[in-house]
Amino acid sequence: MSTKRLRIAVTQSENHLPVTTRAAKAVFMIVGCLTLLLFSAPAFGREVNVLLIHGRLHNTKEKYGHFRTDQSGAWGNLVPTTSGTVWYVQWDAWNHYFDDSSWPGGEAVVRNAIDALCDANKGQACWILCHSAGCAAFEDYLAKSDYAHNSILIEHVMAADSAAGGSELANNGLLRWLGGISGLGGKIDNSLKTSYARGAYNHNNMQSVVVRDVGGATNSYPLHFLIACNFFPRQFFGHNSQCTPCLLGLQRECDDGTVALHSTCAHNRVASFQDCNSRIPPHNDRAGTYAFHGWWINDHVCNGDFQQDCNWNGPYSPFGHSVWNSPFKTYRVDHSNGKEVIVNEYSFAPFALAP
Amino acid sequence: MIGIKNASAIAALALGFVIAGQAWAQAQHTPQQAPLDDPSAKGGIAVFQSYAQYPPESRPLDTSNWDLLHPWLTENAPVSLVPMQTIRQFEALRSSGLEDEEIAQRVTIPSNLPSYQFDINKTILAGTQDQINAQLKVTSADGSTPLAAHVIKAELIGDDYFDSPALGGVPFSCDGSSCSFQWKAPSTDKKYWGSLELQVTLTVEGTDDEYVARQSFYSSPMVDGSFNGNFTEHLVNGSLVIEAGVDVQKRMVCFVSGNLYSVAKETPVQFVQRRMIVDPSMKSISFTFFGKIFRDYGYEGTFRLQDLQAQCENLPYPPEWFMDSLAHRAELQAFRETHQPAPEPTRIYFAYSTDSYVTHSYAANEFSDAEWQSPEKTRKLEALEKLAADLNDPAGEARKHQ
Repeated sequence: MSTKRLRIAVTQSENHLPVTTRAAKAVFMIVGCLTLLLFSAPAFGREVNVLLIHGRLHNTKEKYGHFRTDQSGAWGNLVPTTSGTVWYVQWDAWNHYFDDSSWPGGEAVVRNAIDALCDANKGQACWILCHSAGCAAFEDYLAKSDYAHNSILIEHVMAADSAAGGSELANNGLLRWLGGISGLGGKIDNSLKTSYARGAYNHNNMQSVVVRDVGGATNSYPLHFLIACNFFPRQFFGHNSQCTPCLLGLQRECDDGTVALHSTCAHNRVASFQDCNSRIPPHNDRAGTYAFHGWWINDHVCNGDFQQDCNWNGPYSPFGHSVWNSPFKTYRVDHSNGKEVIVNEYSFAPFALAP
Repeated sequence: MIGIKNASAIAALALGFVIAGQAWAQAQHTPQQAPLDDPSAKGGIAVFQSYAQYPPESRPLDTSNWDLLHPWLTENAPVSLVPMQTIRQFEALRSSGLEDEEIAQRVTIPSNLPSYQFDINKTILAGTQDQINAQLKVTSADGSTPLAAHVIKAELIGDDYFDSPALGGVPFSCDGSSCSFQWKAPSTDKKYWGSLELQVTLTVEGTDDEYVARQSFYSSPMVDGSFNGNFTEHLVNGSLVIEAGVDVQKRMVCFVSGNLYSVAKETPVQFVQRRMIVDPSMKSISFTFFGKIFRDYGYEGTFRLQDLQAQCENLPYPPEWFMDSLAHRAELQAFRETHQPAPEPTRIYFAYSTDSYVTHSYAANEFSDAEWQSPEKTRKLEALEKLAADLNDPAGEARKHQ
């Protein structure tokens, strides 16, 4: 009732204005609308959403779903530069497994966010930035989804320190807390055991969505001799100098302090690796990499387009350059700093690759 | 009338300022780097086109697909046996509130720790008849010398979901430097469900320390069904379709998969994985091996279907909602606002099956070389093409850095 009265009052007051004033007011409203249209993100007919999916952490202030703010502080102050909209996908990474399809498990929350924000039928497209167990949650969603048949549109995935292949630290019950010192923020749960993570879903079934991994290989984290030389796979005469030397330098082991390269670079078996490989066309690693996975980014092809030489020649950011270990396609970062790489890389990458 | 004319002029002027302002902003914010070699984003289209030659359910398979060829197993790498005494020292220092760097300085890690590795037949158990066979081998640090181990105890620990219950001892036998362990779920009790861990407490020759070796695996003692060993085959539109007989217990979303091998070449040919709802009314599940894959990779003759697996989702809501969550967003939202199901392990399998089936012999030209076509594929391509056009917008770079 009061609303109706207010509307009538406004109409009446407008009727008392001179004609010219009323016309000018209408014009200003039109100009205002035009200005809004010109400056809003979807002005070119596309709603670009950039989804940031965090890894394992414990923060009681965090709500679950997708939000415009990083409630848990999982990404620090890192915000990608984009013409689109940044969304923080927040799942209960402390009490639920990454493959849990009941709310607020990883698969359930990721699926809900993507259904809401990445539907081409609504003019949306998504870019995914994930970290650690968040990458496992995303891949689990995608592998179990109907992507090739539905209207979801995911253009690119940047996976930092991916735990999708599991971690030996989770295998080792007594040292699982060690994950806390290098980015996971606390005990690693059973879902990040190598056998569990690799058995949870078909890691090849990315359905043409390319996952570009930032794999950390460094020996600059605390306790690296203990962790790398005792719990991760190692090999004789490993030649990546950024990795931890073991057995008086006869062996080397490549990891980021929490996850080894077999996981962060999507190798399809648990073993010692010194580098990252790619199965994003035209690359076709025969040594064992999951389909549609590769490194970020030095393709000499456009987004994986092997029919033209578009020369995606990253890294693009100063930080990415400073930690890039080109011969091995790895990054000299620990388990937390991979996040910094992907956010910087997204920000500095060309619009056509990361809008 | 005069007022409207004036207003139009004002609008045009304002619009001009807006456009000019935006152009100026673009000029100011465009990075001063070398221009893109090619700003198009056709790559995503090319990747999808390449992928979608074949249906998502039927994929080429070769020996590099280690994981798909071993659907029940995740291999291990050797890891060190850290003395229990050292672990206890770590934990005590951590409990006292020391930083990790300080802990690292105070604890001496013994050098050349012995290594262990479980050689295991599988890391996913499906049903109460399925059995883990694990062989523990202990060696010197460099792996060159086998070391004799003495097992003090071997026990099984249950999943976090059920508060990690002790599930009892595990039978074992030792012979020199290796010990063997066998276990299968004694019942379908939930405590045997989920991520289980075999913990072996042992001593090693030449040391005075005690160690714990660990091996994890996933157990699904309850099953949603089984393959019953009945198979039929036929060609449909130039693709090979094999029907595998099933007995289904409960309506669930399952990922049903199998590998096809060439009998003559003993090489893997195709992998099929179906995303589907299984139902007790079903008598068989069909596996479609796509004709063009046979043609493109030059396979003919007889083939063998093996490695059958059905991995089902333990969902607290109807399977249809998972199959098409876009169409059921409202129901899923209402469900999560009113239900808080107790967390449970996420997977239930069909009973482990060693069944295999050898087909008739086929000539290459019996298979179709036509690409996969479907309305969904066409729609996805259209969406990717539109996206590529949007990303080709020359104003995009400036818009990104505004």
